[in-house]
Amino acid sequence: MRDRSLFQRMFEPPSLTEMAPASRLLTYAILILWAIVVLFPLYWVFITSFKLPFQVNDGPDFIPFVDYQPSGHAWRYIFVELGNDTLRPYMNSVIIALTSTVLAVTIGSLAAYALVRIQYNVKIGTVAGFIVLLTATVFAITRFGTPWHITAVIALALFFFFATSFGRHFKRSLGNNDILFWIISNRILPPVVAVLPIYLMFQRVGLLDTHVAMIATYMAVNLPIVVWLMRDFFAGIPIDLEESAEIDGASRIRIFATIVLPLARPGLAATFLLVLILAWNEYLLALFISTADAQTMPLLVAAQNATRGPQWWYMSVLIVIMIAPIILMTILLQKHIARGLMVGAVKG
Amino acid sequence: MPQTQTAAISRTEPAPPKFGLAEWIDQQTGKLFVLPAVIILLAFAIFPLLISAYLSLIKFKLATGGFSLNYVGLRNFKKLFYGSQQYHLLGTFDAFGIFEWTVFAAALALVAYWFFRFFTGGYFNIPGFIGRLITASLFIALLWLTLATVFGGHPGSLVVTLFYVTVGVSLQFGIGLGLALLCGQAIRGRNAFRIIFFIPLMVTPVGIAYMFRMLADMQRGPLANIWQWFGLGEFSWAADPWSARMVVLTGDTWQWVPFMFIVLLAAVENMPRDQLEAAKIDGAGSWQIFRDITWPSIAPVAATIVLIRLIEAFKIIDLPNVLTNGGPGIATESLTLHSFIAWRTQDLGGSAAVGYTLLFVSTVTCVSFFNFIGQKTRKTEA
Amino acid sequence: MRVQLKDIRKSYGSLEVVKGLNLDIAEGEFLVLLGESGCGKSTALRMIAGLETITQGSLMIGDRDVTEVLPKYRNVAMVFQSYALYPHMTVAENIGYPLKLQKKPKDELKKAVLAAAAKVHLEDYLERMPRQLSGGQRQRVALARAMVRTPSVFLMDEPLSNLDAKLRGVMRAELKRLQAELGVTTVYVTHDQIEAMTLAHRVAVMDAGVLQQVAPPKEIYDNPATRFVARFIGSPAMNIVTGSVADGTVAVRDGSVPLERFAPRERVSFGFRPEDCNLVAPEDGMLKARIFSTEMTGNETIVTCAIGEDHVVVRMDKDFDMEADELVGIDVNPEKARLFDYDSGERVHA
Ligand SMILES: Nc1ncnc2c1ncn2[C@@H]1O[C@H](COP(=O)(O)OP(=O)(O)O)[C@@H](O)[C@H]1O
Ligand SMILES: [Mg+2]
Repeated sequence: MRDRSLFQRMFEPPSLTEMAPASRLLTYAILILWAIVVLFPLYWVFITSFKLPFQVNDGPDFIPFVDYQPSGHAWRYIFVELGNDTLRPYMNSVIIALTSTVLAVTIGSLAAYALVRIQYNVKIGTVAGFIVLLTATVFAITRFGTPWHITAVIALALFFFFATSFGRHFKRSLGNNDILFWIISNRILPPVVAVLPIYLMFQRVGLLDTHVAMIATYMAVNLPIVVWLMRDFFAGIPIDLEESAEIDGASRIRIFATIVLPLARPGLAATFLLVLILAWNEYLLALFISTADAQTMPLLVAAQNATRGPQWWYMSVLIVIMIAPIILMTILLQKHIARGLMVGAVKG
Repeated sequence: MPQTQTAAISRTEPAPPKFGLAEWIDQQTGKLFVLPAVIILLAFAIFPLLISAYLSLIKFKLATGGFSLNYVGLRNFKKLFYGSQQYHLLGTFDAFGIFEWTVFAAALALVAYWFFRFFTGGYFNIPGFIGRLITASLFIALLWLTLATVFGGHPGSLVVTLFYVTVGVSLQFGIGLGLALLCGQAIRGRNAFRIIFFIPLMVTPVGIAYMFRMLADMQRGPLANIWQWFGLGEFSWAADPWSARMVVLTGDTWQWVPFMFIVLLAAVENMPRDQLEAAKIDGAGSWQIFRDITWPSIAPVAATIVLIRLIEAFKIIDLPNVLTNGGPGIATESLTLHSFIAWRTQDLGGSAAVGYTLLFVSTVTCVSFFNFIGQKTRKTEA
Repeated sequence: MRVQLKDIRKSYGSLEVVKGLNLDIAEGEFLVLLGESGCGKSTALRMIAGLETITQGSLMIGDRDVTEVLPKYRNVAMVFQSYALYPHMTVAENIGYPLKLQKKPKDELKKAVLAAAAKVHLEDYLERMPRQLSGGQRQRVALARAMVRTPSVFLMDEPLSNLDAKLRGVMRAELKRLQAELGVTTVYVTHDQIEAMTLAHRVAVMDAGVLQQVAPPKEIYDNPATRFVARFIGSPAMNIVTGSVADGTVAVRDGSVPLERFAPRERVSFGFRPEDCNLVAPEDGMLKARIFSTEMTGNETIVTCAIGEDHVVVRMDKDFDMEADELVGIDVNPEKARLFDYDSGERVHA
């Protein structure tokens, strides 16, 4: 081996798989810097939750016990004095996020699986007929104030009549990819466009500010993500396995439950967690649909902008208790998530 | 040619009779599996979409004992684009100077060149032409709007949203890619970095908003000493439009870099090692390796995640609403926030009209990106 | 059970991949579908299983018309090339899965699984997961799963092609024994002619979706019905030289072979196997040729000769020693030579 000058030793990699000391140093410096950027805000929130108001107001204190004496007053206030006012939104969040996620993953997985394995042919005529009737229904209800249930029933009847009579004469049809694309493209729809009518809809049926309304809405907005992610996991399962089970006498549902789902478990875990996070953190829809009884944590946190000026110590407690469980879960499942996102992105 | 003679086949009874509910369900699984999803999306996406279209054409008024809805045609849109709300959606305009004209002319030339390439490329077709026409029109209109309001005037919620989307997504992608490339090297502690960098994605946007308000507090925040040292101790970022927008952007970037990072890192790690090593043996420099090997292999993934982020970025509301409450004035308002504020003031029609504007801009942008940029990255794939 | 395919066709859109398949497979018969990759064998097998719909024609299993019957009601068992073992189930669960679907009582199921496992010598591996098994063992699990419920037909799609050469030989022997023991009708798909010849009662040769010949292995070898079959079966392949028939001889370039009883023809494909000819001195041979290359394989020497552009392969004993480019004569045994129509490729009989 030839002699290398100090410069070369610093800046030239010693071998193909190793890095030069200088670039290694730079790499670590940047990565650690970003780690600080990520962690410091969280640290700041965490220590602020143990500060007294005057400690916050008197300027930056960085290290507990050194710069200031931590106090649990904010935690006591949030959990003891507010008590139910904190716990109720928290429970709401837990119930709504979990239920809507379970439903979205279940329904979305079914659809994703079916779209991967079963051939569909939807006649364009049927779709067009449906849209025309839906528009007419909406128009009739809103413009002429016909009672909505009667209009809906008439429209449905017309639709089935149409689908079973003229509908079949239209040759052009939509295949699986068209359906899939349609489902996924629903995600482009900005929630603010959909939420006004959803608000009115729930108001009509008296479900505003209930768990049911929140769960249904969250499930609907997250459905496209589930279909999109799960489709690739299902497509990755060798079809031989399913065909073998089919020959051996298993029904579709049985195949799905005993062969496909167990094999798609990593994908399910990733999708579940991702959707759970989205539902847990959701803000806009909650803003419209829940006002008091079904209020979720993001609303509670956002509402802390009290008249006496922001009370950082209380907010910090709320933020900490909101993100702690999710971060814990994520760290436990992060390998799955990375892989899940990867699959979706690579094949998407 | 000699073939086995098939004896006359006597037709006997077909399938073994097995009926009942279970059997019927098995026959119908195709429908049963997709119908729930389709019905839910119809009820929560398509149906609302239609109602919203209708709402954007009415005026909502509280009346004695309830409310009244009056059909007003396109007046809501007129108000937003030409009328009293123009300042809110589009902003207030300023005359073009030399700089604006230069940029605008350059963009026009670029679009013209793009069409020229399309005409002479030999792939000319009518749908492609119409698609390009829509994309180009929207691009030119938005560029004109940006140039007219950002330099001199006051941008409205449309341009502010575009700012969050374009600058935000570019920043997030750039930082995410840089970190992924660094982290994808043979370094120790990669997994620890991976987990740490992933965390912000988990944090409630509302929480992030307050977090960044605390951090950006120039008198009592953790950076107070630094601001004072710069002589900015008395500066209030919340009162200045651009600094307020930058704080929102910072929060959004903090949250979404992890998404880019984690997916790009997975893509970088998935790259074929042998190609990399072959290139290194051939003496390629880092930039050449990136350009010729790394980038082509991660470009499809990159295009997809940028598309996902584009879709989601247009929906931004939590951060501006909580961080700055849209202020100062309307300086940080996004389209979604604009729509929400209109709804809160019981301007249902205006709210729906803003929503539809957002829908149009984001759909055309995302579809254009998918068709004209996203698809190109896939051409190299086998 | 007897399986009958009556003019079965399969099209994907406008592409027809199986073109009128007629087969009558007797009860207990081992029928091998042989053909090049992509010729439609798997498609044919999958139609018997019910995994592909039958575009045209009818299919009978036993005396039941099952053309439109769902796979699960056909009572067939299939072994896939990939084995299709369920990775999340143990060997025992894999083997027992078909019975579990039939809701067999637990103890009965256990007994059946044990019996099936014993047949393929897997008793000691029942609690393992598929990933903990070797290729040959996985193959056995797949076989056991197919046998566990005594189906009316076994369908196997290249079940041995993922094994290494030595193991393949062992499994071939075992498969043959098992099939004879169980006496279940078997349709076996392969592209490997050795497998076909050693396993089959009858071989069905397919080419580009068309059935070429169905016959016992020896018959296929000795009396190929078409030029395709002649070339496909046998290694090295049968020599085909183009020539014409006149006056009781086949004239080819640089020579002729006496072949009586054939009507005169303009162009024929004249075929003879490498073991049915001999190298002699250049002036004595029926055909004149030049040695192109020689390969010593141990027990014999494969000599490739050039007749003009055509190559002809001759099997000689291992002591054969001549150099490339030497001139030789080739003697053909007229009894064993075969003639095929040049255009259609079909056998020409005397
Ligand atoms: N689902 C399909 N769609 C279109 N063509 C197909 C499909 N499945 C098989 N083919 C074509 O049918 C032909 C026969 O395939 P196959 O039966 O699998 O051949 P092999 O004899 O190798 O088993 C091939 O040319 C294949 O390309
Ligand atoms: Mg095959």
